[in-house]
Amino acid sequence: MAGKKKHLLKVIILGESGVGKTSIMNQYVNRKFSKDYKATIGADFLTKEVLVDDKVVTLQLWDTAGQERFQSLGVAFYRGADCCVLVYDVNNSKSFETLDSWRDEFLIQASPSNPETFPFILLGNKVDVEEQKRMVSKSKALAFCQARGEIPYFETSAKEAINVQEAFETVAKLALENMDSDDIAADFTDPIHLDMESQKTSCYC
Amino acid sequence: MTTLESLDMPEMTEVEDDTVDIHIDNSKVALLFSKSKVFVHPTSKMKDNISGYLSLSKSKALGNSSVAGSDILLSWVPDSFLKNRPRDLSVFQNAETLSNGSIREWVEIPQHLDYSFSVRLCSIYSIIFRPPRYGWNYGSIVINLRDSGESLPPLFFHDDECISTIEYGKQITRDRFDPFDESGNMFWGGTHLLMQLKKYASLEQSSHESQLYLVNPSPEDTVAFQSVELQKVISNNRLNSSSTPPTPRSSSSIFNPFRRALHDLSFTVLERFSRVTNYGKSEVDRLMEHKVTKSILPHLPRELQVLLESKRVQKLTEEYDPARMFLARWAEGIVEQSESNNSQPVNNAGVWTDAQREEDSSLGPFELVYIEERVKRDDPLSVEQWNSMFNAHGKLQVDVHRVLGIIFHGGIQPSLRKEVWPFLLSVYPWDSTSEERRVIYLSLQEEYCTLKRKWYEDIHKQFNDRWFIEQRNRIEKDVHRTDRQHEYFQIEDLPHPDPQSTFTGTNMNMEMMKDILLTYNEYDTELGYVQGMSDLLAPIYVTFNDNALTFWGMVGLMKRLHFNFLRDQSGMHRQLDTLRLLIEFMDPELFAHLEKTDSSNLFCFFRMLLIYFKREFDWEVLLKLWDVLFTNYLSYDYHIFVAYAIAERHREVLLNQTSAFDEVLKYFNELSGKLALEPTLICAEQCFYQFKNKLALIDRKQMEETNSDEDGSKETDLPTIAPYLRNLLKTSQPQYTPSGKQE
Repeated sequence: MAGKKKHLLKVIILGESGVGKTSIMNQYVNRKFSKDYKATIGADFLTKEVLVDDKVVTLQLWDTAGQERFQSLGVAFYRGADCCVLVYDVNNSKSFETLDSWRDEFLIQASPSNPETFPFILLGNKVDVEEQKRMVSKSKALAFCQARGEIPYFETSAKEAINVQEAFETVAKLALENMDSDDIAADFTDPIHLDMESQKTSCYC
Repeated sequence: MTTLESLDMPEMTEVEDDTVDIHIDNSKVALLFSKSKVFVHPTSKMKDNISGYLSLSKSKALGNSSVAGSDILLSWVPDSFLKNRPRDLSVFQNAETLSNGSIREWVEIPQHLDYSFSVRLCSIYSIIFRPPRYGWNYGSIVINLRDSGESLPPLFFHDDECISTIEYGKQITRDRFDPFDESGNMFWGGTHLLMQLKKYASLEQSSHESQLYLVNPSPEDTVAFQSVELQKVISNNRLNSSSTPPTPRSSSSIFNPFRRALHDLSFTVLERFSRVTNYGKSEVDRLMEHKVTKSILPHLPRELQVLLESKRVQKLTEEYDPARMFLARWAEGIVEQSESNNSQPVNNAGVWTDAQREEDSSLGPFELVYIEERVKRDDPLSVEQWNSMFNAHGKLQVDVHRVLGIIFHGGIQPSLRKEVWPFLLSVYPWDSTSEERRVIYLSLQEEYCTLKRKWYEDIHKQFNDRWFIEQRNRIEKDVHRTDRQHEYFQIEDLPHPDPQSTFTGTNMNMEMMKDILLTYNEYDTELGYVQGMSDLLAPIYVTFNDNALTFWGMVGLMKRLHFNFLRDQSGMHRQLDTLRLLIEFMDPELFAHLEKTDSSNLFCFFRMLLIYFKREFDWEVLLKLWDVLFTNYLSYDYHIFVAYAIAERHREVLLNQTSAFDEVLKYFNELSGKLALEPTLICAEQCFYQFKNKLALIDRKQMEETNSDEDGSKETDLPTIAPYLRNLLKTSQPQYTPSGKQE
């Protein structure tokens, strides 16, 4: 399975529809921005090789659909994740309010062996938009992060390429640390298999 | 030579729709030859077999000496008809047993009786004589008519019961006379008929198929046999795709699959032959590996067989007989099925491939018939064609199924789509007049305006209803990223109506799309707007260019796709389950690979199925695919076959190049925009027929096992067919409860 290949770090990007998950990912991997990204349906991923502490690792970044209706599909690829990137739009308070539900849902579906210490990171995207449209302040976001175990926080703009590379350097570091600590546990689980079993039984009903 | 008996023989004339009617011709005929215990096997069940008399007779009235064989009739009447007519019966009996006689008696032939027929020799193009083989008890003949290309029901010679065959067989053994010396076949009823026929017609054995005899062939027939056969098959096929699709109305039309199977068989032999000879040796070797080639080897001309001689080829040739036997049984299985379901016979019943094959899979070992379907795509429905289908009142005057068939096989000319989609999307009923449609349109327009006004004029809702505001934002975001490369949505020439919005510009089409989706959000209270719907709306919006029509077209499309968007995802799970079952059923090797790569959840098909391939094909191509899918022509869930075809067309890469879930998903995601529609549709149609045939075969074997296993002690090796799979044969929406479970 992909998540268990040596030095392949699996990262899941979550957040409300339209906050810019696809854009952030593409800005990081391809260093470009397009306003023509379509709403993500299902899931897709991009990979990028990065150097972390003199180690070459491959980041596999999973982009997902943002409407909560499609959250239940996460089982197919949340498992084996090494880091979860939460994204909200600083100009959209609802996207900030739903962060907890994304985080909880991820922990349930991915069921990492270390839910208390599993690495999350928060990105407040679209900071390029004029200041008067901003609806979530930086302090509010920092408070959120503090309350959830010092989650690293970055204010980003996928459009203007602000802070995106920096954010993902941190992602890579956190993911690598998590993989090292989680290595043994991961080798004994075959989570997608379990999922398949449950779907299999449902199809003969 | 003759026993002069006068009969009123029915004359067969052709009427439309592949059916054959029988009319009395009052001319007198004299029996020349009669044979009892010649059977029609309408189903595979022995109890359904119909015994009758096959006869050759001479007609005085029909005589037209300029045409060879115009005064000789080949006829078949069932015993049941003669049962209450002892006098008539004795005429036939005498004709069979007496070598000479001169009894003159009148007999009656019913006006219309199932399977009975009478045809002039001059209207017979060819006859296929299939001698009895091991495991296949009865020899049979198939008569192919000259002008129509029709075939009559196969006639089976029950030699062990037939007095004339038994007697004559004894006689020729005594005389050491064996007309089939070279091929080594034993004497059978068909031989007897052939010998008699040769008295009245010139019969020419086909060089390609030793069992096929041309009747009174013209020199052109003989010379051009190969090309004639090719053309015939091709034109038959073309006819099938555009003519009124048959529902089995007459006894003979249900035999079409069998006839086509035979036609197709000869086609493939010839086609493959020509192809093989064009290839080099290595290519031939490669071809040998192909399952189609394997099965046709025995048909290849001897020269080529010599060329290809090898142990492997030899072995395959030996396997041919059981294969052909299965073709026959399969074809009859189809016939039976079409009777029991009252569904249409398979148009493209196929060419036959692999011999019995033990399938090593979860399906368990059973003999499997693979049918390589020959499927052809056609031209799109044209404006002229479409207009000619309506009468002066604008009412459709042809069978709807025929229209759907044309669209299914070729799509719709782009400029015509606007006219046709409202029918396909259930906005207009097919049987409406143009005046009725005008009235419907006006009322739908009014209804749309009313629905839109309901939220548009509700200021409270617009500012306080949290759900509404959330949904509006969602629609806003999605419309601004839906098909922006399309000219309708490309340019932002209007300022955004909401200055607080993060979007600065917009255009009229985008604003209209938002209104329609918001109206839909209010209209469909169960689902509301769900991501993906904007993708579905855009093609309808652009096609109709009319807000009310677009809205109701969307409503029509959502009736079909409603289950995709259920909150609990049950509809998507059901479809993925169905697709998984289909892959497992049809291609166990691919299924095993998907399991091995943790991909059998088929998440890689999620996007395809959710939005009906919207993201997989380019705009114009997608519209054509939707044309096809909207018809429900072969299956209401035809999109499942399209998805399966996409997998099948890439199975080699999947099998050889992918080893994990992420690779499989990536591979499918990257196919977006790179898929060729026409080959995919051809493959999907082939897959459909293969699926249908395989299902029918299993059902038939199941029935046979049940019948032969009275105490129920034997365990079956046959796979159980899940209800989801059976639903794939339905052409109307299967009924599911809201939770997605089948009722």
